[in-house]
Amino acid sequence: MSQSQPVPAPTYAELHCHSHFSFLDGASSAEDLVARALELGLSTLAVTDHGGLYGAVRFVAAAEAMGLRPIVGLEVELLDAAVADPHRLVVPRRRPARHDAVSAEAAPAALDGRPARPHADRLRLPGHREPVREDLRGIGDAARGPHLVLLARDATGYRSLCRLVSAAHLAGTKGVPRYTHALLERHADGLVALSGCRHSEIARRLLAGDRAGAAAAARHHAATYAPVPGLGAGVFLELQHHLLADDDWLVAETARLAAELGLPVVVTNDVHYARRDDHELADVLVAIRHGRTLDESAHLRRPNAEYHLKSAAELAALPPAEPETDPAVRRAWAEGLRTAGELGSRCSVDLGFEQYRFPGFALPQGETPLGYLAERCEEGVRVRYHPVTPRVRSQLAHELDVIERTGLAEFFLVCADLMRFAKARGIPAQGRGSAGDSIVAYVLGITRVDPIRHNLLFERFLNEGRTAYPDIDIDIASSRREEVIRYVYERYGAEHTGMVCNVVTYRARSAVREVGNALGFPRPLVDRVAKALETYDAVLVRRDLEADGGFAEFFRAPQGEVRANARLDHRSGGSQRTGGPAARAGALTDALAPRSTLRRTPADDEGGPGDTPASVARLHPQPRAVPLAEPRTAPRAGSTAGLSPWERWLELCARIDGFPRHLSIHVGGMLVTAAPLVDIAPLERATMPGRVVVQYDKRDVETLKLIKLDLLGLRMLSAIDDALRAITADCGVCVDLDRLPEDLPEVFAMIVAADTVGVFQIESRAQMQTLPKSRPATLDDLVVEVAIIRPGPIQGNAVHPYLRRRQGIEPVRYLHSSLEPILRETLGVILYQEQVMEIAIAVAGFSPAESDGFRRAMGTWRSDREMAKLHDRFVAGCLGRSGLAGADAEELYRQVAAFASFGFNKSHAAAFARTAYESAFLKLYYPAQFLIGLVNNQPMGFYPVEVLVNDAKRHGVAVLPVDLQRSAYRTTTEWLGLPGEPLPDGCGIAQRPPIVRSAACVVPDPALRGQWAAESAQGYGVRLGLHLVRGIGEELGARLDAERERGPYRSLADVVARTWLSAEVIERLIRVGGLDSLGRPRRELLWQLREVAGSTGRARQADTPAATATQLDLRLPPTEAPELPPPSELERLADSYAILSLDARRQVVELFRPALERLGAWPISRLSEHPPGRIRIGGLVVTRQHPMTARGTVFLALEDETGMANVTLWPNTWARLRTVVRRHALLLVEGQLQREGAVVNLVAQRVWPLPDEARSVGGPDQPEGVRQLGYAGTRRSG
Amino acid sequence: MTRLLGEPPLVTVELDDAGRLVAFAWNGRREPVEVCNRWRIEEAWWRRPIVRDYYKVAGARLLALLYRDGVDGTWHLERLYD
Repeated sequence: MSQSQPVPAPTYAELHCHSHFSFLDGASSAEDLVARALELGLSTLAVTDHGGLYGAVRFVAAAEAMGLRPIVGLEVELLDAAVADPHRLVVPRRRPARHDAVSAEAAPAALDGRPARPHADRLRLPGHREPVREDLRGIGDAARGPHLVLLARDATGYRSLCRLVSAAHLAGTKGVPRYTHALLERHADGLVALSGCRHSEIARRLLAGDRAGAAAAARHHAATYAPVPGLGAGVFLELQHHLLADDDWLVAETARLAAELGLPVVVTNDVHYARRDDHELADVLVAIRHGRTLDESAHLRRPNAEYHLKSAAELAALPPAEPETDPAVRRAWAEGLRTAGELGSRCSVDLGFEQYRFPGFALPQGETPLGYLAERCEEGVRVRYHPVTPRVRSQLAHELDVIERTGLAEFFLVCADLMRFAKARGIPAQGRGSAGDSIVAYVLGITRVDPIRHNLLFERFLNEGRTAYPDIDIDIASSRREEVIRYVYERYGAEHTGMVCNVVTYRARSAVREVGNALGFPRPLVDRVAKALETYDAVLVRRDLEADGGFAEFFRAPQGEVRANARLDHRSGGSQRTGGPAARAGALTDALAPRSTLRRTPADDEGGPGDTPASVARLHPQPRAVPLAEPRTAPRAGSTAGLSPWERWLELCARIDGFPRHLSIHVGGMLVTAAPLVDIAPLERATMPGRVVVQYDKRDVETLKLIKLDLLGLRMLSAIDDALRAITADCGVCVDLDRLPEDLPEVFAMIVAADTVGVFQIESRAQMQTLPKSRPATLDDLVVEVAIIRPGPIQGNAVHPYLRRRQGIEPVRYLHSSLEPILRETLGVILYQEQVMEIAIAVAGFSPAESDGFRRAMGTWRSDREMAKLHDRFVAGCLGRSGLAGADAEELYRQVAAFASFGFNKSHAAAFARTAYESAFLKLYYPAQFLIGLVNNQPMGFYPVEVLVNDAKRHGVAVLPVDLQRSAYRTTTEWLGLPGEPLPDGCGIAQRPPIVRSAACVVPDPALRGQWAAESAQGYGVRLGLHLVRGIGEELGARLDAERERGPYRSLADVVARTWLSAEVIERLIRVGGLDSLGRPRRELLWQLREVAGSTGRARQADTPAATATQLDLRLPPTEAPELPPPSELERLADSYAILSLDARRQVVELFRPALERLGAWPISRLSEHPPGRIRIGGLVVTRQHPMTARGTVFLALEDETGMANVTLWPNTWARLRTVVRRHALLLVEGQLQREGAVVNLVAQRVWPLPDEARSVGGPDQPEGVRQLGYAGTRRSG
Repeated sequence: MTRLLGEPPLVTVELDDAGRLVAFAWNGRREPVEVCNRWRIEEAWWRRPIVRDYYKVAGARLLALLYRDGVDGTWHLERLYD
């Protein structure tokens, strides 16, 4: 980054300013502050956030872009005083941290054979994290350590800041750095200190009357920081005046102290927001930070609104400059204003780290990175291509040429090295994203997609005009990602390696919740509003709630009532408040919503944003529910004082949108640098023990032009890996997916039949609805399929035209002839990011680099404002260059914009399509092994385990119940003999599940099966693992596995003694039949459990190892159980569903089949035989979706024992039936069967709870444990 | 002891040319005063906003706390120090 020109005559500089990266304290973004500073005529602005440099990069970038001189700084909170502080004037005493009481050691000892607490040993349950963050809620600044402001004078100073921040954060815990004076002294090079606000050591001592101490502290700082040439000192005493009662005095005292010590003063304003009106948001942030309402946090807030950016003139008009003030103070004030400008002009930042960006890849003697890379490519090209065609040669040469000119050879070598490591260790890994556009990445083994074969655009990945450097994203089997990360740390050293952070920002729901709570709205209302939202964007909250309809009362809230109620406070005057939070909440409820409204509206807790884009709503266009007014998308300016409480809530939500809240680890971004990382970026602890992140996020890293590797965990790779291992172990064959032909017609037949439950990327409801129409027959078609069923293409109106054109229903059309060459391969619709770039270049006249910028700007969340600018440019380009009509240009922009914000690039889609194809292959030929891969890597994919299991059963895979004697911790395969052979004794099921005859259930042709799958594959069933039982975690699982190896359990007492499972877990095991193999009835086992568990408790208390516990005479049950009736099938199923959410033997709807037949309902497998028209089906709701693209339409996946069906509820139907649908898991649905080609869909008209209807015709009750399973609406994978 | 006045009564004030407070009148009596201290609070914007410039003033007969309401510009007497 270049540094800005020095300003000739230094005007005032604000040197103490917090952006919103002072988490939950600063109330303006760096961009706002910079813009305001320029309006006020400031020359320089320093951003001094609390404790870290989180916002430094954005601030510097914004300031340089807008022409303001930036200074990077920091305000630290110190743990100690600079000089002795015997009376704790500087570092106040605080109550001990609350969590000290709860630690493992503090667990009370067992007394008298009974634990002192009922479950003392459960204090440290796995997954129960010890609190690591100090609880500072409710503790105001006055009760915390003293502040000090540090500014970087130059690059050395920036380095010192980074090292200081890193050292303090690494010495502390997450979010609570440990700054001490000793640390400050070690990292003082190139820094300037400002004495800080009224919570600085000097001010605190002065306010407490300790002048001598204040002077000593100032001298201490002066000795630490080297003098700034020309200004005489390295420490400056800050004069601040916020019109507080003692500010006159404090300014005067500080000025006098400075004069006595010969130290310079600067005037600052401790800025926390850009404009006066922003103080409202700042107050809300304080309330949020302390977890209180505004009313409860009065003493924690700043008392007035004077902490905004002020111009030199405003500051010069403050009381210290008034005529009646002591002339010495007046002079000091004027001097302070001058010195601030002066000091500002002497500080500079340079965040240009490009020369350090490479990790310094170790090369063999005498090699250059490019030469070495070329050699590796040459080796790779001979492995990947047979024969090596001239096209391959020329593409490789072209890419190497670009790589040479951009100097990225080392980057490729680093990635290749990492992939080599993964391959050597057998860790499944593959490049994703735009790297797939590169043949170099392909031949180096980084990606698995052949860019020549798929005709990919290298420029999408890398072009010389690109301002930011490319990412190589690598998907790694999630169970083994840590190994790769550790390798990178070891290979390049912890000094040079760090994870990129992710700034967690306010989005719609978090904003609504936290702002609502701070404003004192009743919690149930806040909850209701938050759950009704579908948008992510906090500025669109208003639009969502207006559309919802359930909140209409609030929008009409009469302001008079609110005012009347506010008058009560007036009498108390000043800073006094009336009414506690409860009174306040009650008052608000009264004012806002008549009680009847609250009672009348059913609890509205289902508005989840859907991930799954394509919707039947789109496929069958219907009149939309309500046309919406154009939403206000920007927060209004000014104070919210005149608004009703409801409006104020919405307004503040809009203002807080995008504010950073805290940091988390980026999913996989790793930074590898040549210079030690602590010199380039500040580090801090992550929540994960031992993990360190840099305080810069992905965007910052890009701005700094550092190189980032994304190592992402992909569970499907783990699942495939597990399946392949199981295949090798079971069948003795090694399936090499790299050599799998990519055109197996049977696999595509399965895909076209939408028999894709569990298949990567193409298993969702929306995919299943389109697969039979798009009929992919080649891998290329699958690439389209993966790219098309996404929000982007749906919003860009791409899905429908593509499907119709694909089916030959409508002709291929182009908006303009210039689009034809670009969009030919996708039948005239925009599907790929590459196409967006090509359109921008060819149609709108962008340069390649600009087109990439265009695509990137629209692909990120920052979009709204920037997009308006790009829109004008794009439309003007289209009109000028290609002669499109205005409306067409707008339409084209709309399509491009809608798409670009969500889109896949083609190479990414190609990589995913390949994985989808491979998983489809495994599902078809090795269903048992594939199923265990999926089950063991949950949560993943679209469906819950029960759907995966039932789907496998329908394909003839025998699924065996959980059995403590036979189940491992993980779900495993188990040999059952080939079909036709009798099942082994005691396997837990009576017969193999029959293959369901249905169009949606594809099994391999017996004649062809032998060609692709081992004969023995069919002989394996799946034994459900103990991990499915709640309460059995990984640690316990390993112990159980070891114990099972030692021999079978002989009795319940034996189980209790050897496993150390808690009574609850054993009870669960008994209830799901996991101990049936002991040969005793379940009820008897339950009867015995308590006594046996009690007697074994003694063995445990004596600290007897599990091995010897078996020697105790516990094998005989102490008392005889009375005759107990065996559980009915209904009870058995209820237990199984309640505990495992599934049953290995029977799908619950089977129980209702006779009743369903009497009710005239069809089994789902036979829907395709039914003519279109009215029909009834019964089933269990396995997913419920409210996709945001479907505008209020709700989709249910209803499963019975024969298959799964899609049920659509139009918005008005949903409004009518939501209560039934939400409350009941088992439904009887009547509706219109629609058929479009092979796609069958039921549009619901009437819905009843199935058990009620069944009972009326003599059917069974609902097993109690059966719940709705999925709630796909809450998944956010889009 | 101080006396807190229930509904702070309106007072009229006299300002000099520079805008400084020199006297106020309450209950028909004019009190020449000198400002000892002053501060500003801004509060309760989420209900009925309170924006006040407080003045602690000393006169020959009294010590008082006045404020100028920033919303409507009126002056009030809030407290009398006995």
